[in-house]
Amino acid sequence: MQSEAVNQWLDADHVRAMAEGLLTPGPRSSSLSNEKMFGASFEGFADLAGPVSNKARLSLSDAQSRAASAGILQEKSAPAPVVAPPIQEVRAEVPAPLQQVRAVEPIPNRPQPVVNAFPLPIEPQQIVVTAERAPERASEVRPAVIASPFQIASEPGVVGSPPCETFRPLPLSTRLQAFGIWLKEQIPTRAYFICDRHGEIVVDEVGSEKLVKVARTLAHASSSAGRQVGDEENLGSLHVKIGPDRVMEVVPRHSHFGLVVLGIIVPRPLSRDAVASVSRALSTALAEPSAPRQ
Amino acid sequence: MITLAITSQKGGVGKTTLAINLAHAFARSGRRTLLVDSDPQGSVGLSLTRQSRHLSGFYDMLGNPSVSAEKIIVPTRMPTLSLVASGHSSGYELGGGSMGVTLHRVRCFLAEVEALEYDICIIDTAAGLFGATADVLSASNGVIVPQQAEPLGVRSVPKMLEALARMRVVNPQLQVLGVVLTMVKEELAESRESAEALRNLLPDEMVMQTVIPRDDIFVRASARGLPVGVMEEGADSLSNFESLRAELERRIVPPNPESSEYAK
Repeated sequence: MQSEAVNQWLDADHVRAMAEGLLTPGPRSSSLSNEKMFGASFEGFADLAGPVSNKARLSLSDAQSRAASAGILQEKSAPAPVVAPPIQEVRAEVPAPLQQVRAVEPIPNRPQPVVNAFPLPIEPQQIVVTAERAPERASEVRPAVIASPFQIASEPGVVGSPPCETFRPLPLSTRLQAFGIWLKEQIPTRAYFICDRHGEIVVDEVGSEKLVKVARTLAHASSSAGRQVGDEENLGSLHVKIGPDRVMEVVPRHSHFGLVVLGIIVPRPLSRDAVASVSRALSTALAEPSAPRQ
Repeated sequence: MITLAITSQKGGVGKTTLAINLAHAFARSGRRTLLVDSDPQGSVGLSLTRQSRHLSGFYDMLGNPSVSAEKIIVPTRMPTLSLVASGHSSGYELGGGSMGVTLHRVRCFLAEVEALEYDICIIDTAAGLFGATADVLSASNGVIVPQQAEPLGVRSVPKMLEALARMRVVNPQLQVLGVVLTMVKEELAESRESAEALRNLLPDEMVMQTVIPRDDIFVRASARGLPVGVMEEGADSLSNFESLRAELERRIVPPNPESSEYAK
């Protein structure tokens, strides 16, 4: 009677077999097999969905070699891939070397993710969202007029022409690389990241999922607000205080990839003009080569 | 050192009560015992100390590598029993735990606790075998599963076993020490029958002989912030948890038999 009541709800034989399996002692091993290669200082894998992250987990070097053979990691004559330069003060805490590997398979309708196999966290000490914009110091923000990032990608024959019209079709990775260089030239950028609306990382020098999440949350809120007022193009910007001398500027931008979120770690909030220029430059970097520039 | 996680898929099965009173029983036996609250609800702290909301704890350690075990261990009046409160989990909840990072920090924390010469670390977890609980299980030597002696409890057993099987893939050393029947109400036919059904369903080695009855004393003990064994009328409960501790000690296989306190 009792067994019948139980069997109506579950497969007793299957349950018993599972339970017996759990009682068998496992092998004596102190760490996961795929962690062993990284040693005691291993901090963990970045969270990434899909097969790319699994490949990275299995073998970083394998992913690198496959990326190189696929022509995604460029040779020394070509521009360097979008690899995060290490952040000095954080590096001291994490002995494992930072290496980022670009995904081997391009994702057709999203920016190519960069696998951050060893996350370098910039932990926010405090998070304060504010719309106040402090005036910038001249030494920190150089641009009265911020030039297009694609001036640096132009070839000698096109120098002097308006950058948007003379832009030569370049791969997304090169355009984003150019954008990154431009960003650091124009703005006192400590680190930055670009992700899509789902949190898929395109470029990441920050290594903090927390900040990416905060940026996405703000970007989504800004996007929703923009939709309500019928101004989806101008999503504005927000900045978040993440430490005594650190602010994360969040610049959301619609593109043909969907909503793309740029997070920039700067010493203090940027001016509206600077944010607008960054937003335009990001938009240009993300635009399909055949698409008209904004 | 032995690390035991108290966990279950289902909430409200008596994990915290079991963790507190089992830790008290181990501490009474002379083992240097650390009770860790890894449930963001902070039930252990809320059960035992009024200051728990202000204490840094497990989640502070997860969120900040500079927070050492020593900083978050809180001594109790019992020299052999110490606590780690849940702490402030808002940072963890906001960012979640990066894959591998939380596990690494849990392992580092347990290594520190071992260096502080604790004999046993009992970790109370949140319901469900995911998130920080999965990382705790990945770093533990053994797991104890409280199971309500109610029909719903028995029906949830397959899910619990499946989850434990997945955890054993991640941590093959994880010893499933057994299911503890909790909230057993002998006078209620359904409770009795559920307990019997569970014993018929699972191998004998998987179900503890000791059961935890449903008793008002647990509510009274919680109200006073005490383990039941410390209550004046708690002699029966004390004996119950002593019996469970002895049963567990017989089952525990130390990870390093030569060096373990348990081998002495």
